[in-house]
Amino acid sequence: MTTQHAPITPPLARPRPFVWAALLGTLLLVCALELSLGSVLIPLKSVLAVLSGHQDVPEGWRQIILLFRLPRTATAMLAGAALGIAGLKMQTLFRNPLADPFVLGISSGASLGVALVVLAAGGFGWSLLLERSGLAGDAALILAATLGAVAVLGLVLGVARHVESNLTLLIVGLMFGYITGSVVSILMQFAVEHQMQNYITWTFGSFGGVTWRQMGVFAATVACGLTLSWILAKPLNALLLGEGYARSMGVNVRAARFWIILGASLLAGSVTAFCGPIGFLGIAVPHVCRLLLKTSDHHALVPAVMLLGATLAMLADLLAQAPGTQIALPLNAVTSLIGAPVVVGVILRRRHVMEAGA
Amino acid sequence: MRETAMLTTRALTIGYQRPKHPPSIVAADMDLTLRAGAFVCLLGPNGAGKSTLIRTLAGMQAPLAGTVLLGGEALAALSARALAQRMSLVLTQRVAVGMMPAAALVALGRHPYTDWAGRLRAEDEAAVARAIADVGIESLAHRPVCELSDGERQKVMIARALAQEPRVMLLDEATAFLDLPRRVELMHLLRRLAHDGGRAILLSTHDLDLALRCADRLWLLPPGGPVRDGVPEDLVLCDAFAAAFADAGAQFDKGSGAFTLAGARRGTAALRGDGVPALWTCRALERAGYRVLPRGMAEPLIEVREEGGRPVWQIHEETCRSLEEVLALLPRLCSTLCEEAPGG
Repeated sequence: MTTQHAPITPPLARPRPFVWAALLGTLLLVCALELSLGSVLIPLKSVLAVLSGHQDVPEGWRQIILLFRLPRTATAMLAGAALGIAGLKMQTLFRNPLADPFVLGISSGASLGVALVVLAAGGFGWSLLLERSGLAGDAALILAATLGAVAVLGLVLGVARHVESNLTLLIVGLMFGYITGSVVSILMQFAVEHQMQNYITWTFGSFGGVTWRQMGVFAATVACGLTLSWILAKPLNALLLGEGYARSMGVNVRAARFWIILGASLLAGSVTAFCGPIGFLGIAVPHVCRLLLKTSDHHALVPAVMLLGATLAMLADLLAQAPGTQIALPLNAVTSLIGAPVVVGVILRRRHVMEAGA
Repeated sequence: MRETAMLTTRALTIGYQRPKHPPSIVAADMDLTLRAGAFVCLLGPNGAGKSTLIRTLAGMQAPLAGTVLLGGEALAALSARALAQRMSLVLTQRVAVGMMPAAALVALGRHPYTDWAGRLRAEDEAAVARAIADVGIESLAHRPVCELSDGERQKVMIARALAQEPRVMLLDEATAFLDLPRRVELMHLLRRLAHDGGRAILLSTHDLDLALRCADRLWLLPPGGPVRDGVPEDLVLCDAFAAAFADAGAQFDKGSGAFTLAGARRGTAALRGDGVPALWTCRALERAGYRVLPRGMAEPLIEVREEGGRPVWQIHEETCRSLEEVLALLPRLCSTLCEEAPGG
């Protein structure tokens, strides 16, 4: 009764070798630039020599590369990949092209934690310690931001267990964001000038604050989040059709949503904790990848978003450092200033990519 | 020979349960059977609970009482994956998946069969190809979904539902936003899919006329129940059809198999003539609120004839060149008639 048909391969994502080669090539190029450029220019040959363990390189350069530029590069790559993936997941889950990693209030929670620490530091006379010890101060901020992000995450996941609709969840998340945001504003009202300065500096974002010791925790958390999103590519594809269809195709929507939110929040939360609230990358990278690969398939998008996210994060960091000068621009300003016009241009040209975040 | 039952409900009561509220019952005590190879249409006025019934049958919503059996197994006892291998859905909502070839969207239907990474095996690809061929969308397979028209998109969604290789397909107003030719096409497609593939297909629709012509059986869901199940023509003849839509602003006319607007009657008219012009004259008169009766049983008499290939209407001494003129003339004639023969 069933007739035999000539097999047509359903191309979930047409392989685009040139795009992948370009993504990988750009990543390596920008990575090399990030290691070699900065306040001091270190020739690429010397960078490679340091990385391969040769001793015939000036000690100063060795120090700069191993203690500053390498962790900074690693942080930028991890953070870029993490923000891109978190944004991709939120855009698919909420079927909203404007969703970003912080849409559920994760970064607001982290901000609240940081604001509290900054204020408490002043109150308990820790401000000198915070300002002078540098890294130790960062550790306190990281811990506070993590706690803040985890608190909001807990609340959102708690609500998610009782709420059927993703839209309701999205609105609840946004409201959490407003509430924590206003608490931060009230706190800042009572802050003295240098406390406010500390807080504002944190909101600028930076990839330079993660030491090798902290890198272990940061990298492990991001790796967990990224692995989780790779595993979730299949239910994410089903969710492209909406919750009803996903359920009818055998997806346990609540469980999938729980893991998607947990993964995305791990990624967004750890980046916010270690680097500050970095905007734009999370919303833009998925869109650019969809355009480049001409697909909505998460099996292709997840690796592409990781590559492009890492590349763009390093590029933004490079520009923020304004190589050859002593100036350092706020990272957040650079990501938005360069990225937003790109996204506007891309989206005006290809309007249909905006369809429900896909 | 009776076909095997695919989907059965036992004393099913559907509705909504909210905490601290009495349950709001949409329809109670339904014993329905959906058989293999049957194309069934679910009809009912807005708000009667068609979507609630579909959602309950699909396991998206728990019944207030009673059970739904899918191939003899309780729906609630099936895992999400097992359910998805037996039943698939097509919904009203327009899907927006962006840049994805139509074939890839169809391939998403293999979700309940593939491993965690969603890799398509040879049998999955064969099922996708079969689904695409069954719906006849081979020419669309490689086009991005975002470039397809609404009708094409809905066909792709039906192919996706077929790729799930279900025994039962439920479609919730899946033809709602399509134009008439597309709706007719989809109805015939669904009918063919049910008859040829031995599947049970249930479509909820507002398209009474098409449902009467295409469906093997109808489920009529009047507001507040009870649901009536039967062959379309039987339901018309026993007035169940008219009863289900009774309190709407339209009345079901058994004679024409269509709805007439239940507005105030403005009078009667008799019609002489035949062919297409007479048919459309009759429709124009009914739309304007006139009851059209056979010649001799009503005044005024309207004669339709053709002059030089164009229809002409003769009413008493007046000649009209368009139906617009006829409709403008009738109120005047009717009022004079009423004065002449009061109570007539």
